[in-house]
Amino acid sequence: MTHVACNETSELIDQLAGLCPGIDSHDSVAVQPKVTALTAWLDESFGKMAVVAGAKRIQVSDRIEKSILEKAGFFESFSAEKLVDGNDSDARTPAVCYQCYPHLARRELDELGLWTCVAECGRNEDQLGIGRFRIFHMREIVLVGSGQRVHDEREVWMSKISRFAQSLGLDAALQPATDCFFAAAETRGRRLLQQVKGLKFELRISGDGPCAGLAIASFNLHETFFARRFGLKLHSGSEAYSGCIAFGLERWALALIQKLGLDRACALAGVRPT
Amino acid sequence: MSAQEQLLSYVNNELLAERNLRAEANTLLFADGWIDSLSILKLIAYVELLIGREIPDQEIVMENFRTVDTIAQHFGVRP
Repeated sequence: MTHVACNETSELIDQLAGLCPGIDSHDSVAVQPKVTALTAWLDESFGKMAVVAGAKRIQVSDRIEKSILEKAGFFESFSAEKLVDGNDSDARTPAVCYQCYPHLARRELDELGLWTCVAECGRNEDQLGIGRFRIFHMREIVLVGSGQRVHDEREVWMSKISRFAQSLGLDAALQPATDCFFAAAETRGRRLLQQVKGLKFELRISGDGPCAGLAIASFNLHETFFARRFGLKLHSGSEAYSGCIAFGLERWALALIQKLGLDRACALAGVRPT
Repeated sequence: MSAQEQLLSYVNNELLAERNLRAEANTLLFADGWIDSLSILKLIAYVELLIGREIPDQEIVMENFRTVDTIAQHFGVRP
């Protein structure tokens, strides 16, 4: 059973109302269940793909201890103000994969392992716009293993998810990411290093519609960044490499509804019109 | 010393010296963490000095920066 459920005051429906004729943000009683079902179907689809590829499911909380974020280097790259619903000890998790690494510490890991989890994340975004949500659901597939195997697996997922998007009728293309995964955008050296090494690719909506440029998935290589911090080692004793594939579920729903309309998008997910 | 030799010498004597590493013209510069975030900025600045123009960020990709040879070929550093 999926974890995904939209809040009553959905930021997604507000954005859809601005983009799609026939969707009224005041009529959330009618729209909300369909959007929630579509988002849940998308999550199940990615989760199943991950499990078929050998991923183990991990249950994670929507909240994360700040000490884990500290260990993951979050505050070296982002301000604490980026966090949502924070208190002295924890906050809403800003990404899901941070929750996985503590689970994998102190184990001897294979040449390649996959894990998958989903959470309701939160980020105070610097910019407003289409597909930017303060609260959103993210499904991730975390890859840990040798450098070559993690690199190759990421390539597999880049193709697989591009084909999946195409099968849903979305025009999307893979592009090197322009934002920085490890560090704030102003740290030019880290950003350019990431760019040269191709550490981050995003699947972005193509064309000139209102969702053009929206990143619906990202495919990231972390090299040994997280493995060093969380002590992730392979059976061989060498340091593990990691990577992750991240899906912004509300963004997929937004792009699909904008492209196909609410009822056609829901039909894909087997959601009956009411 | 040609400009390409100067570039290789800079990589070895300025960027890699502290790590006790030595690159050849065809060594993969971004494998195994040879070049870090500070070094890449120094490398770009040195190539800009050699070619006499600024390099736009879009050109800073693996295809153009894989080795000293590739940098020299792409940016027209004289052999």
